[in-house]
Amino acid sequence: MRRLAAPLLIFLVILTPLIAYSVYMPIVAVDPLGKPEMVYSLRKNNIPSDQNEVRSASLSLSGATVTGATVQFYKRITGTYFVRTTVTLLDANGNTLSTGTACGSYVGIGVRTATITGFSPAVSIDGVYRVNVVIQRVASCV
Amino acid sequence: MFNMRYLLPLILALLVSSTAYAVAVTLASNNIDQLGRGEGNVVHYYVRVLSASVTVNNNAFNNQITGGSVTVASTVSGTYTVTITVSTSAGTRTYTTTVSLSSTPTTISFTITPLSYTAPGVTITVRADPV
Repeated sequence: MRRLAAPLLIFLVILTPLIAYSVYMPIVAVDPLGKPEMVYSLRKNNIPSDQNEVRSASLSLSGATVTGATVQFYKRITGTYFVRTTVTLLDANGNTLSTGTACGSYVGIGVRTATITGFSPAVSIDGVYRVNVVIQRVASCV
Repeated sequence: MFNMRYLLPLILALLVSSTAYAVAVTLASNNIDQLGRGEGNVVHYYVRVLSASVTVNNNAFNNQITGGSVTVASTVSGTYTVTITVSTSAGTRTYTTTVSLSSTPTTISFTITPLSYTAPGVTITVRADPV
């Protein structure tokens, strides 16, 4: 066994760096080409008391920083009630970068507008891959 | 634990493997460098989609999306193929156009074959690839 120990050790010494350096690492992993796409997700609810749907979402920028958002949704259920609008900004891995919320009382049926005046924390749009827009009927805005 | 009889081959093996690796890295680096210089149009650009909207055929709950618009900008000016993909649980529609983009936002209106606007909503993917 002692006669085999040295060749075995040599073999392992050679094999270890070969395995280490054989890890595949594409160039894009270390040198990203930027951000060629963005995704908007607009919510439509489907419960009897809340069948509202988002029709549009628009981000406001100051330079590259996202400072606000305007959301238009169709209020389908009659009456006056509170709607909370939440815009979530996510990165390419699905991690939440920032969130903005607005809540208000809306009357009647038709296209309504929610205005979000700030996102916390402040983020650059160049880091945002996905914009999720959710509206939800709530009992109150408190 | 080991005497020189075993240590010498070990050192030689390390030397040979290190040299081989250095040569391989050098050759690979040359290839990467050549690729970088050759691909002159590969640039780092960031697509900024400032807004997305859908147009529907009516206000009934079981309505359909017939089109919409997106407002797009890019950090690098140029001509891009913009692909807009609209998806709901009922299916997917794609609209492609070629436009000139810059840091000033451009609005692109699109029409699609009617697609049911189903819960839980619609996903609009905007992709811009340099022409």
